[in-house]
Amino acid sequence: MNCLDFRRLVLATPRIVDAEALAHARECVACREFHERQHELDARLFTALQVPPPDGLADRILVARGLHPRRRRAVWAIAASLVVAVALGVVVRFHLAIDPLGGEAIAHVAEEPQSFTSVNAVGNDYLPAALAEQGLKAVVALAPRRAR
Amino acid sequence: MTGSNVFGIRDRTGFETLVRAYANDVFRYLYWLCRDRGLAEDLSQETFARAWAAWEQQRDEKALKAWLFTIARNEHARIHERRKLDIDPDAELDALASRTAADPALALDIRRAFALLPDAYREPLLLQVLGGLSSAEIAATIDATEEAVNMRLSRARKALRSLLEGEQSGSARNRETAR
Repeated sequence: MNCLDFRRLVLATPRIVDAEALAHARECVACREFHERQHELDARLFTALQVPPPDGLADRILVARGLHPRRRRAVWAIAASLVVAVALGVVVRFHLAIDPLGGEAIAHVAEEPQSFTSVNAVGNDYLPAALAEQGLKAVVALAPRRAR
Repeated sequence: MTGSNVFGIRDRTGFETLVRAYANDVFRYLYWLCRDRGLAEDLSQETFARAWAAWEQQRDEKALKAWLFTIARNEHARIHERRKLDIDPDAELDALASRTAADPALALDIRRAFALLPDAYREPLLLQVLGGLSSAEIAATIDATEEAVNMRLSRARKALRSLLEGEQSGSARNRETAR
């Protein structure tokens, strides 16, 4: 490679210098200095071209396309909140649809079927006493207990 | 099946990675084409809107950056020509110099010289130095042959150096006069 070819190559692509060109630069001081000067100019040009971009440019581009991760997370959060709210509504709705006292009574009966068949004999004064505890009074007299 | 690339599969996440990796470079490229920050941001938005619309069809995994620059260039040609903004280049450059660079005076000299280059020289140089594109990628982006691109790059650097030497000798003369 001669000096003319070397300089033409460096002027076109200063960063890419092939093996043949590097060999020429090692032998030719003037071309080596030319290469260094060109490198320096490119470095200065690169620095000078670094105009500051607007703050948050990438974020604004992503927001405009509806692709910003924070915005996507917010959408997912709203969707998740709606699902939870609907699920809670359904649960509460079904729960309230059953009369709680009646439901408990049915559950109690279902768990203690022997209550239907067991008989506990009590004295004649048991019922009036139990009613009196609740502030009540039997309006009819109970028949005396008959011996079996 | 399109496969995957360094930006992940061609879905939202991959596109988000693309935006975060190249939004600033695309903005800078557009800025140096139109020299107007507001317009460059609008054009960046348009560029990525078009890129997103074509994201599913994008096949060339190694040329995503060149692909983006091509879209940006087309957007600039389409919208900027329509708007025909009247820009005061020196006012823009002075404002920039105060915001960036360790040596604002040198940066301003280089920016002024760069802005004076003809479009045919400035654009391939911008794509190479700022975008890091190869001559072949630049050729595809600006629809020219690789040989023509290398020729323009070579002439652009010669012209830039010549302009800078003129600026520096002019600055030196001004300093002498001031004494």
